[in-house]
Amino acid sequence: MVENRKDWKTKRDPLYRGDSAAGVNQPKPSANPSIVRHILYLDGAGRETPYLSMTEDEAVARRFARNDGRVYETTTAKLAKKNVLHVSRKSLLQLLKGKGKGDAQWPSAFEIMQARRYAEEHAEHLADFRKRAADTPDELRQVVSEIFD
Amino acid sequence: MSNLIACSNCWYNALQGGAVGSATGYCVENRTILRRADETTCGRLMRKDLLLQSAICENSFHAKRFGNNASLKLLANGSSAENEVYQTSNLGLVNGDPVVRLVTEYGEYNTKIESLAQLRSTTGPRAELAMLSLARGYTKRCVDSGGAWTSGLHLVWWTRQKLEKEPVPRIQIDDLRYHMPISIERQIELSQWLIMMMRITYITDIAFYAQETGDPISSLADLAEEAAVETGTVSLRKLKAWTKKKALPRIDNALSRKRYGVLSQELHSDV
Repeated sequence: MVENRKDWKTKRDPLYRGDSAAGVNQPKPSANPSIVRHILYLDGAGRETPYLSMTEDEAVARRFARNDGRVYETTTAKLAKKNVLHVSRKSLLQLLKGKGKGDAQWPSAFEIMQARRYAEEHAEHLADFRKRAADTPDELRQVVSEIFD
Repeated sequence: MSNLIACSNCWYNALQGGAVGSATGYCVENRTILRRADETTCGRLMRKDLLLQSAICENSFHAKRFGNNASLKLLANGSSAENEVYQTSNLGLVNGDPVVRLVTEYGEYNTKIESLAQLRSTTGPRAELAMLSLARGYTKRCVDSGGAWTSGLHLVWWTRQKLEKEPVPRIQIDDLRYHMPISIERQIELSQWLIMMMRITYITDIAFYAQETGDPISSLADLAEEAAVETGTVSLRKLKAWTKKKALPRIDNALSRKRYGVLSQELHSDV
């Protein structure tokens, strides 16, 4: 397998997210924690998810922001400060194998493979908000706005 | 990533699939050029990256949100995208490309299978992507209208032939519509994997449609799942080896050349 992407460093490099110009989408900490469901965008538009997708690559984020959106930036230090778990690209690729591991276990190996392809193609990382389950919607909104510039 | 529920990932847009394809899409339902296919959608979305049952399930969610029709909408807020910023009917702008020409003519003169046959004999991954995308829609529509799985008989046979004669589709840098943050060699490998999986996915569609009849081809309903389980990761080398060693013998067992000939004759005698 040839990968050859530049080495992204946890403590050094930012993570990007393409989203609406109005703000970053709100996660739902109590929603279904399946990583495959999240990456494959299953259960329809506007579905609730405890994750926010991010990427190492600003150009990918720009594509997801579309013409009328914007690119937000964060760091793993900001996530940690707000008790939001960081799931790295490397972790995702390790979880998305065979029948899936941990939160990437899923009944369809085919869908796990598709999710893995997307995670690799997008240099994807996840912000996992499940530890913020006690937050009110307003508190959560505040946390998200403090994490993403 | 929400562009998975955009026109760019739909069967009915045969010009784009993952990173493979042209900058603009074409919707055979709307019969319009999709100028910003990552930003638009409609209630008829059928996802290319899912097996039949999941694609149908996701379509039901999608139709609730975007209406059960082909009216083009903005993915971001569901408002109408039926204006020239997002689509155009000016086919004069794209007719020079053979794949685009075949896709834009698809169904126009009641000759869908003829268009699919021409796409089959057109060289290149964009033609194959178009054939496989349209084949899924064509077969589903035939079956939904009371037809049998054999409406896809030739298509499934052509797909089987591809698996044997050109196991790995040849993809060049020009076949890509955007670039990813990985090496170009790996991006091409992932795109080749995608098209190989689309072939296997189409065969599992046919097997699913044949389940009620008990035809031997229905035994292939788990083929795509088996591919994923046995390869365990997104590896072109492993998928190619599995195709040769496991998939082709299974397919031949379910649909031999001789049986294809017999079914083909029956199909034509019905016409």
